[in-house]
Amino acid sequence: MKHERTALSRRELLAGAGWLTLAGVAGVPRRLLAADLATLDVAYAGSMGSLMEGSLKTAVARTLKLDMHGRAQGSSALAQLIVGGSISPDVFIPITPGPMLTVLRAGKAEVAHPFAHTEMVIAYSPKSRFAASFDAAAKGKGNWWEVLQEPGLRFGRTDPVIDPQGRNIIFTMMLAARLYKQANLVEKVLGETINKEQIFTEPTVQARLQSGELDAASAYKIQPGPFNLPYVVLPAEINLSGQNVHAANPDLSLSVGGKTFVPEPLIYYAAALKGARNAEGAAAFIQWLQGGEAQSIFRHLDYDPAGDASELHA
Amino acid sequence: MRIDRRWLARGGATLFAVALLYPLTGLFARIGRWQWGEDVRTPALASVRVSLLLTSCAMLIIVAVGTPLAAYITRCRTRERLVWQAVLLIPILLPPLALGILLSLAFAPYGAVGGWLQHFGIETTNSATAFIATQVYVGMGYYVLGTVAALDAVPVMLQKHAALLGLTPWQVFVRVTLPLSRLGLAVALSVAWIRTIGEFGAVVVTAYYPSGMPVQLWVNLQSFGLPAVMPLLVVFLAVALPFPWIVHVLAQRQRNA
Repeated sequence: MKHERTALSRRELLAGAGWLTLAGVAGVPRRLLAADLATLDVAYAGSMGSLMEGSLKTAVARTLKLDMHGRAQGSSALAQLIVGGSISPDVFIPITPGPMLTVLRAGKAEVAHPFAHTEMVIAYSPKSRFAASFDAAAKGKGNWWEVLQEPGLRFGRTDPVIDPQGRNIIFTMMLAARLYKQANLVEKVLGETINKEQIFTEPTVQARLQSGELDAASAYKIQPGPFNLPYVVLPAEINLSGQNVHAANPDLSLSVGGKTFVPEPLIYYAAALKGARNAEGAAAFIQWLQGGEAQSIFRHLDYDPAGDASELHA
Repeated sequence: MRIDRRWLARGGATLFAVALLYPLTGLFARIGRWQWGEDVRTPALASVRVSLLLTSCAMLIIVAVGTPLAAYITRCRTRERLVWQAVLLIPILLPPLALGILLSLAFAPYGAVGGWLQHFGIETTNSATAFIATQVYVGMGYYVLGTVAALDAVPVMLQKHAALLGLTPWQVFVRVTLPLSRLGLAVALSVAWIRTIGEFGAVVVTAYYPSGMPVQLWVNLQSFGLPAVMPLLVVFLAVALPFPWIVHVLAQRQRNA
């Protein structure tokens, strides 16, 4: 008797699982199964995820009739993967000139076009017990760099060894130390260069602000918006938005992970890679990025125009 | 005729092995000179130490907690056993990234558990504790499910007879159940080890530091490129493979003895 009951319940279980699977398959929207658009493979800087997978993807499908397949990762890693030949996207979009120059110098592309730029900000969690102080600082009624020194404040940033933003927040704090004449600001806010209490992987930093695990974190201006996070805008002298940030501060450098880095402007470049499977699509896409439709999407998502930034060549 | 057939089977298996190991030919891709200079070597060797030491700790916990649990589940009625198996499937079914995110939320320092742990000076992110805990969550299900299947294969009659002959339950387990299920246990143990030491998706969220080998591979890729990935990959194979293989060797030798 006992056995029979078990067998029955097992049959029920199997039937249930079967129906669930069927329902799951039936629930897949038809458009996901259709593939009538040509594919464009784009490898882009991890910070651009919200834009690339959202409104830009939709607009590219509508205007250029291209199905954009994105790959979001750290710009340096993507550059290394492209140079090493383990990935071969149609278009490469890194932030800062460095990773793009790596690809250009390896002969993987001819020219890179700047199409947008951003700047460093300090994002903070609305759940933080320091939120009111940050709100005030964002309105100019207090010093953000003083709030960041509050005891018990949890600050987040990315790994300076592998992620440009991890280095950029250090450069920003170095510049802030000069601007506000605070000799030990970098050590007081960031601790050691590799401070294990502050460093997390790039995609999780903003999410940790959302959950309240962190009080504040480094960010590019384009990042907090899609996460509904508030941020403090930093003065132009320290936010790395200037095209000539290195020339303006020639003595500024950072040695970490066996390499020495200098500050680079936060410009987004796009290049069509040689041997692209969809070369025509890549060319059209890059031209479109610089045009009115794409640029209005960028403005809407807090990206700033590329301004006087010039093309990069090998 | 029989020999011919066996050679045919062996040929098929060899073909299969070649296909299975084919990705390793990537090691010989022309990516330039492999990098193993000071800047690559020091963090790489540190990551080897972290992986071996902390994964061993995680495995000890997995075996210590998982074995009695598996022994209990083996003796459960079907219905209860299905519940336990579903519970064990959940953490290993979750994509590692999702598991990492859930772990970091559940043990976040502002939360009840995380706050309590922090009160005792136990950091729940970027620490050895976080590393080991994540690995335990990642590997436990594989070990227990495998062990249940292995213990299940031991005829109940034998265990009953041994008990009738006057052995205590512990003696029955050590002298009868364990030896008879060792091949299955070897598989459970080695799969759990392999899954745990190679874990990346969850660990990279909860314990970017101390960096184990999988995280270091990723760091090398980003900071130096493929030439710095390959040597660490070889080191990874060299240090991660012996343990599960020896487990199989030992289990096999006892069977043939």
